[in-house]
Amino acid sequence: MMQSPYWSWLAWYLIAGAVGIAASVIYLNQDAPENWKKFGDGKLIRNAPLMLVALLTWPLAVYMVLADKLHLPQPGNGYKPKNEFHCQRKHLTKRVTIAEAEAAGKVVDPLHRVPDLPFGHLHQAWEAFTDKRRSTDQLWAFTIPGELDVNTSSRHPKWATPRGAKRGYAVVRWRKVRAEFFYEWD
Amino acid sequence: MTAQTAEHLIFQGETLRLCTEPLSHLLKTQALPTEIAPGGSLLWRGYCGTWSIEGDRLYLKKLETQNNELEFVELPFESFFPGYPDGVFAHWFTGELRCPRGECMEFVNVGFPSVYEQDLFISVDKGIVTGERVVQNQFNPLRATKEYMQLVEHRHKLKK
Repeated sequence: MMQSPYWSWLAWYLIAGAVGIAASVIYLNQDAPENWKKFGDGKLIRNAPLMLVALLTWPLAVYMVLADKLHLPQPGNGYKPKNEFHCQRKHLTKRVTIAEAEAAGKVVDPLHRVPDLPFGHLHQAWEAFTDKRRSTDQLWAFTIPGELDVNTSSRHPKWATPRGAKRGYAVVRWRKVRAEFFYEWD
Repeated sequence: MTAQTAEHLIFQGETLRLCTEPLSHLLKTQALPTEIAPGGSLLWRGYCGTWSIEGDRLYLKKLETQNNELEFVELPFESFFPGYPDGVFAHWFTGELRCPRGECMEFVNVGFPSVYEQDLFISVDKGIVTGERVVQNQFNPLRATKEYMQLVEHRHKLKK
């Protein structure tokens, strides 16, 4: 029986699909190693039909899986993922290093009611923030200016400074804010 | 919707109402050793802080909550800020502290916007006081009815 070239094309298509899907799964779970345990709990078997469909339509499946992470256009009704951070790109002011940020974040109190650590009582949050940073990520300082209260009603407090102003640092990866840390707010 | 119990600020020997919550954002973003549960209708945030200005700096001195009888019960401060029993420097706060003073002229039964004779605004930059100003508030004659003032007096008694 003559070997049809279509079978070899199909075989290469499926192999490429399997490699592509495996690479996507590894990429998406690299920041959450605890997720790997779920694969040992029979997750692969339970999702076998879905995986077969994904294997046959793998170009579309890989694109859909990575679209959100890489902010590529998605088919459908133009739904955009909810922005989870207060800091937006327009708020970024200056790129800094960890050492520069920690030097600027030193807090001094003559009564010694603050830890001698970068960002004082916020040091724990700072460490949790820097733990999310990869070696290739950028660290940016940001300022969210807040809004001046223009309510002139006689019963409204007469605030003189903008409300809701915040300062902090953001981890930026592929031009997108991935984590934020506030060290000063109203 | 209910008017909220104000924080307290000790300033120049006087204990003032403080209608600002300098601790709120820290509680949302910082993993403190102990969580604060939401309180009743008069204290949604679950805590009432006592602050003081010593020298030119803002310190958090005490945290309290309210029990079912609306009595203030002190929370163990060291469980929130271990190693700092005398208070913590509020270096994270930049903005204005609003301290209403005098008689309540207009009661608003939501949040902090009730109007008092005067508002003392204390400007703070990274926990350090940079200035203060006083605003005299206008009296609204439309709310000067006997029934309304009795309601205000009743609410004052509840808060005490």
